[in-house]
Amino acid sequence: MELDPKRYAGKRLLRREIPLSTNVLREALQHQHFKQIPTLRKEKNSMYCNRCNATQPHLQNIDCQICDRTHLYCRNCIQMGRVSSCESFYEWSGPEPDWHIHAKPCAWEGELTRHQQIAADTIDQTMKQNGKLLVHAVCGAGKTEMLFQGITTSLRQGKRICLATPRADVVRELLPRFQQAFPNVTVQALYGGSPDKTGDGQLILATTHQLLRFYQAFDVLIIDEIDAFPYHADPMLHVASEKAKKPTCASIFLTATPRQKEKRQIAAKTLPHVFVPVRFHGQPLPVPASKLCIGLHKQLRKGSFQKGLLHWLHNRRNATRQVLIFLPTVVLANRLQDEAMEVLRPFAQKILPKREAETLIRTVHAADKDREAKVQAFRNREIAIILTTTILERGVTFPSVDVAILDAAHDVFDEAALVQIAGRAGRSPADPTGEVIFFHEGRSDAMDKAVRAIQDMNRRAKRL
Amino acid sequence: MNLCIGCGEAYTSRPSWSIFFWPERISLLCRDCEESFHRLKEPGCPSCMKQTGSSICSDCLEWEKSSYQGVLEKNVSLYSYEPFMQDYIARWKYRGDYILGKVFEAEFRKLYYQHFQDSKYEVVSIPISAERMVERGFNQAGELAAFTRAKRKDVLGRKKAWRKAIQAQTIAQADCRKSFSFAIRAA
Ligand SMILES: [Zn+2]
Ligand SMILES: [Zn+2]
Ligand SMILES: [Zn+2]
Ligand SMILES: [Zn+2]
Repeated sequence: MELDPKRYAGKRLLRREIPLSTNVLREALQHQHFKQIPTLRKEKNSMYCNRCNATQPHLQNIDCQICDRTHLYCRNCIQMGRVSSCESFYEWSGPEPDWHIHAKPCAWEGELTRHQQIAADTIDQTMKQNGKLLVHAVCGAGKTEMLFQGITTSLRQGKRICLATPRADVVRELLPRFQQAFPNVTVQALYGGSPDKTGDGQLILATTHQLLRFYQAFDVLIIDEIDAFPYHADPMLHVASEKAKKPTCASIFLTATPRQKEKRQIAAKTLPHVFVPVRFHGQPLPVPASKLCIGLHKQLRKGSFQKGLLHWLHNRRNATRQVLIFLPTVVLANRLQDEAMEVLRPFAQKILPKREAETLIRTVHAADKDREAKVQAFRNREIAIILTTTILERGVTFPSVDVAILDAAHDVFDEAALVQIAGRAGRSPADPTGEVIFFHEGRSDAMDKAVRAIQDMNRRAKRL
Repeated sequence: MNLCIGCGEAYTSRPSWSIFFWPERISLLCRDCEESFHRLKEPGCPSCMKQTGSSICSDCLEWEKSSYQGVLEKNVSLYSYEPFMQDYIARWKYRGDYILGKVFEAEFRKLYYQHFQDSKYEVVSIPISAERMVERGFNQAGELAAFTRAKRKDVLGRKKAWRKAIQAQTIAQADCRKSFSFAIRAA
């Protein structure tokens, strides 16, 4: 039986992930098309998971009735399927897959701005040379389009490419854009619960967790939003991204809000970087206004809105823009929901006068089952005002919104989060401005830093 | 410092009276997770423990009118099945995160002896299918049964079937469902 190398290469698979019968697999092993690798390894008296590199206390005992022994399994990467020490990984060792060499893969006909073009050229060069590059591009710079040129070159060389991003929302948003741009390439989206699971495409869009599925798979690895949770904070994801690369592989890191570590690397010139301070429509980033509200915390605790917010809603320059209201916690979002339906309704009706009043105002948070649908409804202008936690701080794009943060000095709103949230406004060329306001009861350091960072970007953009 | 098995966060176990009562549980969960387990407080329906009043509930009355009359002697429950618990159980069962079950051990045993001390009872666990067993390596109901440390009986045993299934697999362990049914047919 002929086995397709594309289906199996670049992964370490558990037996249950291989849809072959016992006999076929046995034969494949005899022909050395697969080799077996232990799932856990011992190093200096400690055990490690061969998929995610975790050690104690992430490895725990199971009384396993498959092998009738008590042995370790890995809890750290269990969401990708449990790895137990009585199993093995199967690694493809047959012929290398022949990824298609595309003569003219890209159908995108848009034009890049001068600054996008400079970044696109640098990305292209880096991919050709299998180098490393940090792309620092402001929110709304149009970074996806900047990648197309380099991806085109890579596909012409028959390379395999992966773009990994922290959130499934973003993967879902990117898939149609890449499918349109590269119509003859097998583009696949992988995230928890994605319809596609095989991961045998030439161009993979995935959440960073899904990188755990791969082993020495890619010639080009693009990691989006390197400063975002969970990639920024979870060492497992760094292990996963290192393992997913072939020994020679280009690495492109994207961020709108680099953290201290990247800033240091840029300053020390240890990581090549390219900077895009201008949005693709050329307008400056909206600079957040701040409003001190005495008694804000108390009122939020009681589940009621501050006058300041209502006043701001009333006086917006463009009363038909949709509104995103960010709140620090789910609890608060839920508590304010009833009051929102009542107090915010007149504003919501001004935004979308033709819609049913009952569905104009909605709350979303991370564990919300209807999140995807609500975000889509907001995008379709079926919802006027969304109360949200930081879950919508980045990645998702709405064409024309104003943004308010209630209790902007709260810990969850660090500098990066505030810059990202402000970056939701003024995204479309048709409405390239938008209002951003921080409501607070005492400024935080992060607020000041975020405002300064945005002003700094705008200054640098003007100088170009 | 420990890592909470429920949420993965680091926590320091705090000295408290509860440590005397639930030593196993305290050492596994952080405070937030521990407080998200809600013990059923009321005696509830004497027959099924449903938390609506203290008389026989309408469900049980319905059952008694059906052909299942007199079948159920008593149902007892430990926790309310709220979203947190549903998620916890799903991770234990479906993801196969074995250690999560250990949290129930002490209280499950206590509850068992509180209601079924009499030696006329035997513990029978609901088996899982051969496919499930080869995927997970354990049966969550079997785990609970073992927690009682009481006399157990495999009257509903599917054990033989999956033993055979496993033996039919000469290569490795778990298998996808398709090739598995093939293996069973071959055996
Ligand atoms: Zn692992
Ligand atoms: Zn085992
Ligand atoms: Zn916990
Ligand atoms: Zn009842």
